[in-house]
Formats: sequence, C-alpha cells, structure tokens
Amino acid sequence: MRAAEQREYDWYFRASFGPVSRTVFLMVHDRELAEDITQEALYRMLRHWRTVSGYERPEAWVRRVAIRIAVRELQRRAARTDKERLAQPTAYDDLPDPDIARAVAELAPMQRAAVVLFYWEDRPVHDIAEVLSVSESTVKQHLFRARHRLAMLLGGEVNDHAR
Amino acid sequence: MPVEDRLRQGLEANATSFSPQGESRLRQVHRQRRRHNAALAASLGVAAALLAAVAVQVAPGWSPGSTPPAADDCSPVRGHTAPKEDTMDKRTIAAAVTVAALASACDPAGGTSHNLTGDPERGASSTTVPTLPEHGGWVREVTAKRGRALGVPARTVRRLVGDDGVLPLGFKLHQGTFTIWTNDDDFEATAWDFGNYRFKRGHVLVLTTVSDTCPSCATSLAWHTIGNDVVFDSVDRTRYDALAEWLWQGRWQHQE
Repeated sequence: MRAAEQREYDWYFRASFGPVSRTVFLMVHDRELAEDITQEALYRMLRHWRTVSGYERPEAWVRRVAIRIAVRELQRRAARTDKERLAQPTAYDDLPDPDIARAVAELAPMQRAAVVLFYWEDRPVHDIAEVLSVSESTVKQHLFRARHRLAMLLGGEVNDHAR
Repeated sequence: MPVEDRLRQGLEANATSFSPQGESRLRQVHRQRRRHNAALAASLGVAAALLAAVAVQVAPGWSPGSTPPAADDCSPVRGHTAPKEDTMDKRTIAAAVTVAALASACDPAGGTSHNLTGDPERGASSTTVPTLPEHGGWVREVTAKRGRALGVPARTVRRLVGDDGVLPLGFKLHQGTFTIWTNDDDFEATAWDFGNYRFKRGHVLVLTTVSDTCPSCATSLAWHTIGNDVVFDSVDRTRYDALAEWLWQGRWQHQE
C-alpha cells in the first residue's frame, strides 16, 4: 500500500471506528466483541482496499460488513444451548438503560439489527434493506414484530403509524 | 410513553455510555501526531527565522537596529477569548474542520494570509493569489435530509439541525479572520468557529481555527465564484469527511 493510500485508509479507520463500534455494541451488548467485530470489518476493508477505496462511500461498506458479522455472531449465539449461554452472562446493569438492553436482547438477530439501525441510526427502510440484504417489506415486518415484542416486554404502547 | 420513544432514548443512552477503547487509543495516537507536527512546524519556523536573520545581516544596506523581516508565525493567538458557545456543537464543527484538513497550518507554499493579531501587513504581500472580498458575507442552509444522505451520523444531524430540519449557516471574512455562525434556537446568531485565513494559489482557502475547541486545526477548501456567490469544494475529495462536506461544500449566497 502506498503512503497516500495508507493515509486515506487511516482516515477512514479513524472516522468509522467509533460510530460503527457503538452501533454493533447496541446489537451484541458486549464491549470487547463490538470492538473486535468493528476491527474485523476494518481489516477486511484493508484487505480489499483497492476495490473498496473506489466505492463512493467506503465507510458505508465497513458499516454494512460489521453489521452482517454482528448478525451472524448473534445467530451463532442463538444456536447455542442454554447452558453455554448461562456460562457467559451479559452484564446489563452497568448500562444507563438496562431494561432496553435486555428487551432488545430478546429480539431475533435480524430484528435487533433492524431496530438499532432504524431507531438509533435513523436509517430509512431502504438503507436497512440494503445493509441486511433483504427486501424493504421484510425490514418493515422485522420492525413491526420487534415493536410489538418490545411493547410487550417494556409495557409501552405501539404506534404502528409511526415512521 | 410510546415504545418507539422509549426505545430511541434507551438506545441513545446505552450507545453514548460506550466509549470504545480503540477509539481512545486512536485519539491518543492522533494527539501525539499533532504534537509531533506542531513541534516540527515550530522547528521549521525557528529555522526560517534564523535563515531570514542571517540573510538580512549579509544583505547590503542592513544596519544594526533595523528590524529583520519576521518569519511566518503559524501559532494560534494566545489569550484570544472565545465567545461562550455550546462546546459540543463547536467540537462537532471543529471536528469537521479537523478531519477535512490534512493541510498543515504552516504550509510552506506561497499564499495570502490573514491573521488575528491585527497586523494588516503580515501575509498580504502576494498579490497574484486570487482572493475573496471581505465585504458582506455568505449564507446557506443545510438540511437534515442531505446530512443523512451524505452519511453524517443521525445523532449529529439531530443535534445540529434541531426539529425544523434546516440549519442556516453564515460565513464571513472580516479583517483577516473568518467566522462561521448559525442561528441558535432563539434566532441569535452564534459564532461556531473562528480563526485566521489565507489564500493559496489554485483557488484554495486555508482556514486555521483559533477557537479553544480545536486550536490550529486547519482546513483547505477549493473555491470558485459564480457572480458574487462562492462555491466551496474539497481540495482532495477522498479525504473529505461527510460532516465537513455537508456543512461546507456547495454554493454560498453572497449577502451584503
């Protein structure tokens, strides 16, 4: 990698690391894992830098990769037995809003991703569909189900006409 | 409370409580680099001053007691009092300035510079460099929609723009200084960032912040005019941050 390319890559690394780690953290609720996933996505960007640097928004590519890795990680976790999961408990109580974290953790991996992207990052449905490689109607379905599940867990009302 | 609002609040609280270790390490490295660059620039300044002094002494006509020409001083003005502003917003803007800028504040390339020290002679020597007029100012409005489309984080957009979805911005060059301001929620114009500016060859404007949030942060903007309006663009698009692109890039309407 030439010096100019290295500088450019460094810049994207710095710009992406914090925001992407936070989004992933909201999905996985594990600080170290969130950073590992972000670093993995950034490492993939480095490996494919020749191609990725030609994209209009390389940082969007990193975000997409990190979220997909996070979803796969959550799917793997969901497949684990209860005993395995009990061996690695997640500490929610050190978060400012542990109830939200617990409720989000009850959602299916794709629903979690859709909820975080929609309610934290304010991404429009078509963006979320692109990130998760599903159709827009699937995203809407994930959000609809997630809202109802969360309302049940948190005891709130659901406004299905909301954006 | 509707579950959507509860969710937004909770996610924001949880996300902001997480400070990635990697990010703080990166900041540390960045700070070290900045210190290194500042030290390098200072050394270069001293070297230039010494060379200038030597040159003046050897030059015919020099007599003891006369003032040698000063080397260009790129350091921010000490003791300059910044107006009270929302530090978060200033930091955001300063960050936009910082990330967009990889140009050194002590760029050795020739240019027409201005400074906050109030010395009108300094930096005004080169007349071949095209400049923008100091009378009046320029205004533009940026929208939340555009910010999101460019990839500016939603929280930043929300914080900067507020509820109406539009952020009015003003930009002014006055007596060698630049100010970027916006209307606060109470419609009071508030300075966000200010500092020195100078023009470089090739229609490049270099802004160096002296506000306390990001002293010596420099940004380079390519510019051209359409009538009295000015259009800013990035000097090197690949290095341009979405936030800086959102706030700076595009057409600014001239206002008397």
